[in-house]
Amino acid sequence: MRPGRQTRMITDAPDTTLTIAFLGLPARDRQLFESFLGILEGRVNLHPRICKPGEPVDVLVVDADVLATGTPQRLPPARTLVCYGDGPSPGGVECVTLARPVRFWDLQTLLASLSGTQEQGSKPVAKPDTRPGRLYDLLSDRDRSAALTIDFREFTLMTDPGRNRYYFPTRLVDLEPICRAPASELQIRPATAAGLGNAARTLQSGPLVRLWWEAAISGSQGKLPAPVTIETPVSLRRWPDLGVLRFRDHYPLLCAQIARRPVSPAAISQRTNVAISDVAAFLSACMFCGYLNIEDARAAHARDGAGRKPADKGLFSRIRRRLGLGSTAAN
Amino acid sequence: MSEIKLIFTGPPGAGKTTAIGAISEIPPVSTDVDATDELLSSKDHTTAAMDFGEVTLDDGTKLRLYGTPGQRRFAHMWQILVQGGLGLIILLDNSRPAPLDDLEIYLDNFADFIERTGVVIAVTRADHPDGPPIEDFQDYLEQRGLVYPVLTADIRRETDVLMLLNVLLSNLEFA
Repeated sequence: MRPGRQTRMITDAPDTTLTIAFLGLPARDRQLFESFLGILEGRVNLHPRICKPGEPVDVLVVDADVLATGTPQRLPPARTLVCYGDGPSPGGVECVTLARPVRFWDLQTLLASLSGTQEQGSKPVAKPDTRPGRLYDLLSDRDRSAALTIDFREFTLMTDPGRNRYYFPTRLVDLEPICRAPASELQIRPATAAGLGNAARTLQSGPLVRLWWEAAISGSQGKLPAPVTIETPVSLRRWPDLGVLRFRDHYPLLCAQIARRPVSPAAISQRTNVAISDVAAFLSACMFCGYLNIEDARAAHARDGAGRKPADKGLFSRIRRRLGLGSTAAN
Repeated sequence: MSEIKLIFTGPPGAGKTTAIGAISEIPPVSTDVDATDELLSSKDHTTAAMDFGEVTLDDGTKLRLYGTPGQRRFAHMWQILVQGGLGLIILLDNSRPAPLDDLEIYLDNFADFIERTGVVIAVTRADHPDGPPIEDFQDYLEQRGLVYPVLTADIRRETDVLMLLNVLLSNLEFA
């Protein structure tokens, strides 16, 4: 976190309670937040609760319209500022963006990220992770340079790192079912050379990176990849081959953000208006595929702002509109 | 009326004419001649000067699409064509004998322009059995310390051409 900025992260909090206050949110959205916070109590390593009058505020959630029209410097002091909804980036204020309407996973990711930051400066809180594991979790614990057989219900999928391919039955064209399946439905075992040979002859195949990517996108559940926290600067080591992945509009946007300089997940979300859970999933996939660098915060700060001259955003919007590419999230 | 330029470059046969034709609102203008020498086996015609296409934006601005001649003996024209350009798309044909050498040629010749603007590298015929895998292109860029988008693409598909433009625009806008 840069010195002199209005926001600071909760690295020195004395306990695990997280006080949350709202500013300018419509009643319905506030109800949604309160409802989600009730569910989240105990699911992250913090105890989120609505702030009482006069109490210090850990997280201030401000409606984007208030930030756009008001004077950010006059906001009540808070350790973390959350901009709720799409809108122009508030000048001079560092904040995390949450998409409107708030989604459960987004809020959980945000609080979990804050929790991760806090644990660096205080003793960790032992709480069991009750989320079910998926293919991503199982693969994270294994040597992926070895050929594997993955059984899922009546299907068998095989990985062949030697050829950079995976083999799958015709009926399993879409990888999503296997990547979203609970770990209890999956079995992973080493593949034999004979099995791979047979699979290469009889099954369809695809680039292995597509499987790794999809497993991470579907399996990270909006959680940042360890050891990345919401404030850790990250950069691209290499661009993912977007031609072989299941393309999503925000991928080029996120890649571009971190192609030339390191940027923290919070700042990526703020600059692009892409929900923090989607940023986390993207970074998990980049990490899983070996495309991500984790940078030193001080070096990253020195390099920040070393990009090209400011772009003509109006021109790019017109080109996108004319070619039917749709607008970027930040436009 | 203002105009802006996007440049398509790459070796002969990589698909520059096809890519421009996929998005141009006018029939692409190509200055083709009969192919000679090493190209005879792969193409009947090749672009000796340039390809040209056009897209009109809603404010009347013309987005000009220029394809450079592929052969290196026309390299003197490359620097002329990129003047005032918005960004560069390099198309590489993975069925050629040494596509990584091709990449080096275009990165070196357009280095200044790329640094000022942005680039997308598209590998066509990516599954060609004799061609290097996409990871080799990524490795090559990483060894040179370059973090440029390199994608496999089928230039015959309009969606793939639009994806390249999407990536280039994001790169220009946010990198």
